[in-house]
Amino acid sequence: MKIAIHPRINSFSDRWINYCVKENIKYKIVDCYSTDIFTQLKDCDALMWHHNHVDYKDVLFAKQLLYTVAQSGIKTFPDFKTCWHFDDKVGQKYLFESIGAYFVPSYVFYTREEALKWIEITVFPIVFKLRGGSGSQNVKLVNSLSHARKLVKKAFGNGFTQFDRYAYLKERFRKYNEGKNSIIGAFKGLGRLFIPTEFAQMHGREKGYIYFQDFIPNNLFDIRVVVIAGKAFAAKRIIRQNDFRASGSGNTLYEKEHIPIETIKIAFQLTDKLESQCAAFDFVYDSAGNPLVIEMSYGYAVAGPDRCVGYWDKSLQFHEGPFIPQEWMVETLL
Amino acid sequence: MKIAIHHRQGSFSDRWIAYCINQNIDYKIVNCYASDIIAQLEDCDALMWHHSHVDYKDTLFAKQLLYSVAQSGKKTFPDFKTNWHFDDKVGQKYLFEAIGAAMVASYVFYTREDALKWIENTTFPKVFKLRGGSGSQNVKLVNSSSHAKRLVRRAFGNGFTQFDRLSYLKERFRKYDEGQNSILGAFKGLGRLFIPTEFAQMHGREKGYIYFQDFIPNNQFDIRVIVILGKAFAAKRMVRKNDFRASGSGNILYEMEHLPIDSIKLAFQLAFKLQSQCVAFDFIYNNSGNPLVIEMSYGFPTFATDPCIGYWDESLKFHEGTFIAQYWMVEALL
Repeated sequence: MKIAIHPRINSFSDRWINYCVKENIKYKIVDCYSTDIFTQLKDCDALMWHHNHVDYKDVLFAKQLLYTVAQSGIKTFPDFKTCWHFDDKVGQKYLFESIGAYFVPSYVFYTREEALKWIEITVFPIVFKLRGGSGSQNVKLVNSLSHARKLVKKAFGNGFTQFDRYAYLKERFRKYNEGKNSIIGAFKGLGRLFIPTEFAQMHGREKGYIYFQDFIPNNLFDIRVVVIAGKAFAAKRIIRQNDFRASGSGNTLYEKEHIPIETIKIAFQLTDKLESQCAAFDFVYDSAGNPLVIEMSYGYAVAGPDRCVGYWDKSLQFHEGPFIPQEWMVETLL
Repeated sequence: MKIAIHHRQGSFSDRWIAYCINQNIDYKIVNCYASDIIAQLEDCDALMWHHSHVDYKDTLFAKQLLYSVAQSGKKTFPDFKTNWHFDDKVGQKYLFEAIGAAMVASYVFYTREDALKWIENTTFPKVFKLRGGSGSQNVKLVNSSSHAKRLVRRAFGNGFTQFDRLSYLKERFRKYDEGQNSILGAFKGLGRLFIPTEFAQMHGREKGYIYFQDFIPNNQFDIRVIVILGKAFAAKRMVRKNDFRASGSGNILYEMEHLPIDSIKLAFQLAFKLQSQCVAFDFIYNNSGNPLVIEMSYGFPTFATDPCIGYWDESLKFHEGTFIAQYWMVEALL
C-alpha cells in the first residue's frame, strides 16, 4: 500500500504526511496540477488531496481528477460520494431530500418567472444563499418581498460574484471589534474593496439560479458534527452579535455538555446513508426542538477540532482525550 | 418497475415514451426543474433525463440531481459513469489517460505561467478547445505561438463565452452556401450577433484554464461510433470544406464500407472500461493508420443515427436493418 499525497500547507495534508511517517506507511508527494499526474500515480494505490473550494484551480478540475483516478482502480480521499456535493448547496438540497434527511426546507429556481411566482406567495424572512461559499459568506437574511425581487433580478441578470467585497470588509471589522483580528487584518478587508481575490477574478459569476432556505428563528447557535470512520466529534458555534449566522463566527464551544447527543446520532445515520468517508454537518433546531441539517462539507478548518475534548463512537460512547481526525482519514484508505 | 421520464420535445424522451407505451412498461412524466422533483419520484424505480449541455438550467444541476437520485437507490439514465464527463473535455482528458486509451495528446494548464512556458517549447499548429461545446463550436486551429499567447491572455483575463457569435454566423452561412440551410437560417446567425442566446447570457465565462490538443493532419473525416448495451453503430463525418473540423459539418456517410472495423472494436473496448451505459466516441486516424479517440458524449442528435443501415454486436457481427437506439437505453434500465 502506497499513498500519494498532494501537499498544501495548512491543509489536512500536513497531518496525513506526519501520520504516514509516524506509522511507517509508504507515501509519495505528488502534484495534482501537473500534466503528468497519472505517470506520478503509477506506483500508488491511493490518492489523498484536500482540495479547496476557494482555489479556482481546484474548482476547475479537482473532482474530475479524483473521479478519474477512482475509475482507474486507485482509492481516493475524498471519494465520489464524499465530495461530489462539496461546496454545492444546490446539489445538497436534492441529496438530502432524496435520502429523506430532516433538512431545512430549501427552494431552488432556474427561471426568473418561477422565482417571482414563488416569492409572491412565501412568507418572510427567508435566507438567501449562493450554492458555494463557506464561513457564512454569500448568505443573507431577506426580510421583504422587495429585497427578494432585487435578488431575483440580479440572479437572472448580471449575477453574483462568490466573493462579496463589502460583506468581507464588514466581517473583518467585526472580528477586529471582537478582538479576534488585528487592525492589519481589518485593513486587509479595505484593500479587498479594490483588489479582488484571485478566486473572484477567475471564477465565473453565479447566475441562472436562485436558492432560498426557510429561516429557522430563535437559534442562537448551530451544532457542527464531523463524522469520520465511525467516529464523531462536535462543536457548538454561537451566532455573531445581532446576526443569525453562526458558521465562521469564531465563537465556538467544545465542551461535551454543550453538544446535544441527538445531533451525534443523526450525523452517524446520515453518514451511513451517504456512504461518506468524512462529513461535517451543521444543525439548527426547529421550534419543536428537533435538529435540522442545514448543509455539509467534507472539508473544514484543520485546527478547529483540536480543542475538542473527545469523540463519540457509533454506540454513542464518549472517548475522552485528544485525537487527530486527519489520521482517521488515512486509516479509511488502508 | 416504474420509470420516471423527464420529457423534452425533440430529445431522446420522445422515443423512450413511445417504447414504454409499445412495450407496456409502467412510466410517468416528471418535471426535473420543479422544486418538488424528489417527491415526484417517490413511486418510481428509475429516472431518465436527456439533459442538454446547451440549456443553462441543465448545466446548473442535471448531474447533481441524477447523482442524488442514484444515492437513494434508484437507477438513472444517464448514470454517474456515463455522465460525469459529459461536455467536459478537461475531465475526459484525465479519464482517457487514466484508462490508457489511445487518444489525441491533450494539454491543460491552470496558470498563465505554465501555459506560456509550454507554448515556448511546443510546435504548431495545435488545436484550441474550450472544455464545453459541441458541433465543433469553441474549437480553433492555432498556427503560431503569437496566436496561442493571445488565447492564453484571454483565458486568464476576461475569459471566453461558450457561444462565439462570429463563428456561429460563419457556420450558418457555410451551411446556406452548401444548401444545408435556408437563407432564413443564415439571417438568424446575423441576429445572434446582437441578441446572445439564453445560454450565453446565463452561463459564466470560461476562464482560469486553457486546453490544447495536438493537431492530427490529413484527416478528411472523423468516425463517430456509438455504443449502447453491447451494440455499436457508426457514421463517417466529412470535414468542412477548407477546414479541419468534422463534427457538425452535416456531410455524413452511413454505409458499412465507410466504417473501419478497428474503430468499432476500439469503441467496444473503451465503453467496457468506462462502464458506460451509452457513449458516442469520435475517432480520427494518425499517420500510421491507427484510430485515436478525440472526445466522447452520452448525448447525440436524436434523429442523426436513423439512417444507419445496421449495428454491430460485441462479437463484431453486423446486423443489417433499421433500429431505434433510444429503445436500448430504456432496456439498459430494465
